[in-house]
Amino acid sequence: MTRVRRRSMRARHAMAFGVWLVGLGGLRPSPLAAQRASTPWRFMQEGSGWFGSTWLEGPRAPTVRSTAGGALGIGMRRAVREDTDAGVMLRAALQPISLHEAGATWREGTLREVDALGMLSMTSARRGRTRLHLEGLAGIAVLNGLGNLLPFRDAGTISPVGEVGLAVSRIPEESTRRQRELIGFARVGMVRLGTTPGYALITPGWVNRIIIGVRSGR
Amino acid sequence: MTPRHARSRWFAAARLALLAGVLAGCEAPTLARPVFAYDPTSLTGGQLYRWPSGSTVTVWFIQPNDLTRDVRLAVVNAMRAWNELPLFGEYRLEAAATLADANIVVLDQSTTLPVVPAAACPFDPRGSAGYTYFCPDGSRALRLAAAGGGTTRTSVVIRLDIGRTGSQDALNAVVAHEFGHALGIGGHSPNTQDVMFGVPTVSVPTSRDAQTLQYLLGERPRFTL
Repeated sequence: MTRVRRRSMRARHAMAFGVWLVGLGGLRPSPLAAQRASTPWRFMQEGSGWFGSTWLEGPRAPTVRSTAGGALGIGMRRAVREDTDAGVMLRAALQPISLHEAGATWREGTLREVDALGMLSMTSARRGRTRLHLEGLAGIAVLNGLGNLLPFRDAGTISPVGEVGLAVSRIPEESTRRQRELIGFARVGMVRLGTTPGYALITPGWVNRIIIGVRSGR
Repeated sequence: MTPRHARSRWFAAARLALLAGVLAGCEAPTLARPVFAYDPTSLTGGQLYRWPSGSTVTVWFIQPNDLTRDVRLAVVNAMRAWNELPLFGEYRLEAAATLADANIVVLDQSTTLPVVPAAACPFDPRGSAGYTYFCPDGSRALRLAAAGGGTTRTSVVIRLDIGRTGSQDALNAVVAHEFGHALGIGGHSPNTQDVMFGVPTVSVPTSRDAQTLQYLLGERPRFTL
């Protein structure tokens, strides 16, 4: 079996494993199902820093990396259970790309990424005036801006993307007005970088990143 | 929250932590540069040279009074063809705004050299149709002095003998070949179809030329241009 096929099978197994791990428990019917229709959608916005993505590496190739980037996103969410929110988000990120090889480092412009994501957030017990949330996001990413550079030159235009992580929110004080909620989060994310038909220079793989940011909403 | 709920939360947290671990352990895309198709150091005694990675290399050409051949056309073709080959933006050939800005100067033998060759490296075209000149000085090539005095950014001179080219196509092939030397291919291909064959007949680099260039762009050079 070739190295590429082994990696491809490994990726499929990893995805199946991921689906099993995240599970769909949060979407099971609940006693609150009757209330769901009246649960309002809530607007949210987030800003985040992206760290530590290695887009390509190899024994005889440059390491293509974005050490730090940033993203802004907007979305909507609503409660689907007493302790679970589901939502959707559109996010745009900029990631400066640098390359390292044979003792040299050089910059090659900025990668643009637009993500369309579905989101599930499960809230834990209240601890004092804070709450802990477990979050998972999955969707698609569109990469562009560096079409002359490997690995982006030969990658497909749409890539699967996923993230899991923790968030902390502060519980607003009792009030008759709905107050702005502020949530800090940290997630591990990944995006799949494959090849388009006709290009086989790169061996596909997953690009990891750490995403740290703040989300607000009412 | 009931104990059952709390257990469920912790179970979900453990699953997410495990998933995060799986995600973090996945492998990044990989690539290996090709090995060379022919030795890129056969003319330099094993010394590999090239432009520093990420360089914008500026080119200035001087059109001779003899207008039977178009040097501009040959230079533009060569720049376009060689610019197709870097996989990681290791270099980019661009036209220089002025002679003073040029890293590479292209001229005919009938034109007076605008720079002064270094004393340590004789300028010796030996009557060839194309000749690429640079002078290593430690870890980088010398910046040549201007003929009128002062300094320049020029480290490479491509000297042509247009009279030795029988057609525009032949001139295009010679210029493309010399650009290969100016980018770091310090050798000749034994394959007659390659641009880097000793007596070139084509002006578009072949896959063998590309392979050789892409190999050397990933190697640590003995000196940079």
